[in-house]
Amino acid sequence: MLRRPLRIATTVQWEVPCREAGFDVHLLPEIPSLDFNRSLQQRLADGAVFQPFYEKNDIELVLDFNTAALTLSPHPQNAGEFDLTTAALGIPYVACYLDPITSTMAQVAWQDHLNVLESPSWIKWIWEGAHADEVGRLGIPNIVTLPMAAADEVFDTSPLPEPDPGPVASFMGHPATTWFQSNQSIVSGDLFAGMTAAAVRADMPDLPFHKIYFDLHRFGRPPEAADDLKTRAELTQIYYNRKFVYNAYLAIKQRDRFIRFLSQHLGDAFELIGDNWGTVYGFKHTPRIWDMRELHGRMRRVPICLNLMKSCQESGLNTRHFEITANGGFMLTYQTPELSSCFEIGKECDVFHDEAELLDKIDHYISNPDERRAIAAAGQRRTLSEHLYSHRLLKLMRLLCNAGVLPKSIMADSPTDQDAPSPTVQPPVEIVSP
Amino acid sequence: MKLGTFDNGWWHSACTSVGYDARLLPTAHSAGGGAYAQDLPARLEHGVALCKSLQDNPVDVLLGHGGMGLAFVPDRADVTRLQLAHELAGTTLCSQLIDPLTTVFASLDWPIVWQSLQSSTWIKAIWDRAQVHELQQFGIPSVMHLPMAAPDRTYDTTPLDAERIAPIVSFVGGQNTSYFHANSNVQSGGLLAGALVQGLSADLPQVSFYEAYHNLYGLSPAPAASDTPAERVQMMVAYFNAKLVYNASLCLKNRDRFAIFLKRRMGDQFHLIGPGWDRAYGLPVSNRFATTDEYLNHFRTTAINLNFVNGNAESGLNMRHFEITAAGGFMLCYKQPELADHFEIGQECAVFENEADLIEKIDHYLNHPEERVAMARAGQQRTLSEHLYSHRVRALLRQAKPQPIPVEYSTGNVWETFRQVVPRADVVLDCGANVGQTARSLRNLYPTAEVYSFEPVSSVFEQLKATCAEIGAHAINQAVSDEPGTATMHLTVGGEAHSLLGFLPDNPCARWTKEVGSESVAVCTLDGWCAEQGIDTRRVDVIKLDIQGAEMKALYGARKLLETVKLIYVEVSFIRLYAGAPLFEEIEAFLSECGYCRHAVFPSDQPHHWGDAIYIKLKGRPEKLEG
Repeated sequence: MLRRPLRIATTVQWEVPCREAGFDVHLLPEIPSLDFNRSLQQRLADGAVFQPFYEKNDIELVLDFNTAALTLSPHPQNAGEFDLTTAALGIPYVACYLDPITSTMAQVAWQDHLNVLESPSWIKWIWEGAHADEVGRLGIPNIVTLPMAAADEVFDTSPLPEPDPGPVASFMGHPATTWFQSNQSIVSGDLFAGMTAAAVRADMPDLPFHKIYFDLHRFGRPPEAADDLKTRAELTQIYYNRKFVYNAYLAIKQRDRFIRFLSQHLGDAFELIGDNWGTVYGFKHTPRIWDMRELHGRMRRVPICLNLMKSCQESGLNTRHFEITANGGFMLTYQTPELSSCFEIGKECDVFHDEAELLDKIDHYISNPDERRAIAAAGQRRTLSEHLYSHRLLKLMRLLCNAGVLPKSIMADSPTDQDAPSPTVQPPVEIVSP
Repeated sequence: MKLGTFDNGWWHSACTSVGYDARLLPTAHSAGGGAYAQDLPARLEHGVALCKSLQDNPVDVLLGHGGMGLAFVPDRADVTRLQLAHELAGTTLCSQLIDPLTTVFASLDWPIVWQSLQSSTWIKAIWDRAQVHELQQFGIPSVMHLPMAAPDRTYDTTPLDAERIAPIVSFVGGQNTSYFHANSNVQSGGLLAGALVQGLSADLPQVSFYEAYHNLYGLSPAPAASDTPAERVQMMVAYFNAKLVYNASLCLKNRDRFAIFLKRRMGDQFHLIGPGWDRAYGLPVSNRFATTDEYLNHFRTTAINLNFVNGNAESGLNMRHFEITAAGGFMLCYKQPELADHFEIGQECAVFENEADLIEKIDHYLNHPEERVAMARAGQQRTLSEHLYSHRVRALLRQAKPQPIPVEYSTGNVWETFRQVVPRADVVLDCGANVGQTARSLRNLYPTAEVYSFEPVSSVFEQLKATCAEIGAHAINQAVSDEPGTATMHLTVGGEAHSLLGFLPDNPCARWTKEVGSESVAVCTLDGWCAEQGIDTRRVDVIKLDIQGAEMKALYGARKLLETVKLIYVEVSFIRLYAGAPLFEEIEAFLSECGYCRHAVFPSDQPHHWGDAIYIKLKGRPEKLEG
């Protein structure tokens, strides 16, 4: 498909799809500090490791997974300033931006943070529409919106085995917030914007926070191009500080409340696999399963795999949507606006909207194993044909070529859009050429 | 029927309107905590004045609102204890609770609040079904749902002239919460319950905070029949503290957010009339009204009257719903579960669901004046025919003065009835044993049973001890009530009417109830006593209560026992002899809630005044108390 191999520096998550697509793959250096949430100083120190690596291998594109390889280098002309290492070398840097802006680079001061975010070298791959729109409102350029996906692996596509005896529904994940147990002190006035947004969201469930904040209730204005960096950083910081309470609310609304409810009402019929549930809420649970083969096997052997989103999701899907279905598990997930753009609800997975419906659907699917199996099989077919990282990679490459970030010449025979499967309703994609 | 009201307001005009004799009674001084939240000194002062007034000129029912009329007097025998003034006066108090308990009783300590709530002769009229359910689940007696209403007065019912109505939108009401502007430090852990229920109600708006807190999320065990009063108080305090954040969030959700939104969107075309908006949010407000006529006329001369309920409403309607419509104004209000119970939505008022819908509806109704005027007229007709305080007063008085239950006395033998219902008994509790007359009969009836006879009065107890020693029973020198400790026993002539309750001065049995002294006695609850003695409550088959008006208190203190006891033999009164004593109907209602059925009533020597009833258990654990 590709006319010549593009030299890509990437992570292990992307290695297989990149190689299968025919790229010349170079795994990023493994360094002890490779953490997506590290200090400015550490990122500068890491830049000194990554820069010679890029130069030595003549890298043309850096494809990162979760900003772990986001390193910095001193600015060549302006002493005391810095830039992305990739920017200094003129290499496009694509990073799948999993966590909200406040988690990624939380150790970096806001002005520096914004400076990095605005770098023309960095293309932010954001996996849900609400988050992508929000970042765009804050004046951050170079945004690609693509949903998450499942890693390219060899999946068991045989019919599901008989479920193990024991729990009928399982959730695999951790508490979405520890804030309510930490007893942190907060000034009541700082709850105002978040609580108002929560109230609005109850009546207008498709409205993301940034629209409530900037447009509906006008708690503040978004940064503008005419603002200096300091002002832009201040406005962005205020916005995210106010959003903090809303995110904590979403953590409760979308995940933790259902765990509390099921722990109360299903007892041992509900299986909770993950860390910290005991310390945070006092719930009975088993620890996280680190062995992915074992975890994925569990998804196939429990009748119902529940999926509950975290607080950083306002509209999109998480990795678990694709992981459960890729492995052939039956997924019952809490509603989220973008779900129907990736799956046919009721045929490839099913949703619940509240506690009452959750119990009803668990009851229904336990009583109807054939229907459950049929949905799981259809969900697996959909994910394996459309929602693997390899599918996302093709889509991404086409977007980068169309935007002029990469030369179109790398795409041999220029496959049509139809060749690259995409979600039935693709969230808006915006990209500004660096 | 003679009624007493506390001000010349809604209830008074309602009573006058339906032809009841309503007398104005002294009101409490509000300096000690606001009009509806007087502190204890103010309520004590009010209690003395109220009792004096009622002694001179008694009434059948007291009508108030906002907890008004809830007043106290020091117990004559023990000044550290309080008596409810209306109980002492032997009348029923109906007071509509507009604000939640935490507001109404903000100036009172919880033990006093609990004592007040336990009064079965205080009809707590609540305007919000969710709050009614909440109080009932905590075991509060005499809670009724009574929607708000419009005051009785002469309203202008001439048709609105659409041409003469200004194209303005207005909201009349105060800013709803200072919580988010007090800038006080709160702990994140205290926000959990509120956040959980807020998340839930976004998806299941019909589920109340109480249901979510106890039943869905198990944040605390639901109140159980076996909880002691102290445990219930503790549970209520924790519950209402946890609910505070939820109420604050409802303030934003139900009201403040829309006022802020509209003022910023519509500017001067939206008139915001009420206190607090400028201080809390910097929003400009219009002048308030000098007179009631001006206030009511405002609704008729404003194109769209918005109504946002406040944060204490989970499901019910506020007074403004009825005032706007009574005045003949067009009302556009935020959705609220109980709205459809009172108005035909789309015909008698209009509803919006969110900010976008609000803007659309404002636009629509500003451009369709005829539709608006027709709806206002239909709304006015509905309110004037169904939703005035005079309509509510009838419902309230039905509750305050329940129809007496016709009693057909049994001609059978009491002990033979016992034998038929409970042929063999393991443990029998004989409360108000006096000198042991009943204990002898019980011993004869149940030769192998453990019989425990309770008698608190020292002089009588000595004789009881002798009887018990003779028949092989156990004599307990304690009174039974709803909480353990000590209490004052009012001693009477004749020795058979000693009571924990004060006597009503004008009761027709004054000859037997003349007070001749008092004595401090030890008090237990039956549940607590069983626990202390290591007696499994499931072993108790029979309870006898002859304790001169304190029967209801004893039953409250025996909620665990009431889950399993097979037979209750209780003295019932058809007239009120003691302050706060329950009537037959009230005992019947409570025991019915606990799963008991009346089996027989036996006459006393004063059959028009009291008798003895046998109730038998129909089912296991009482559903109503389970939550």
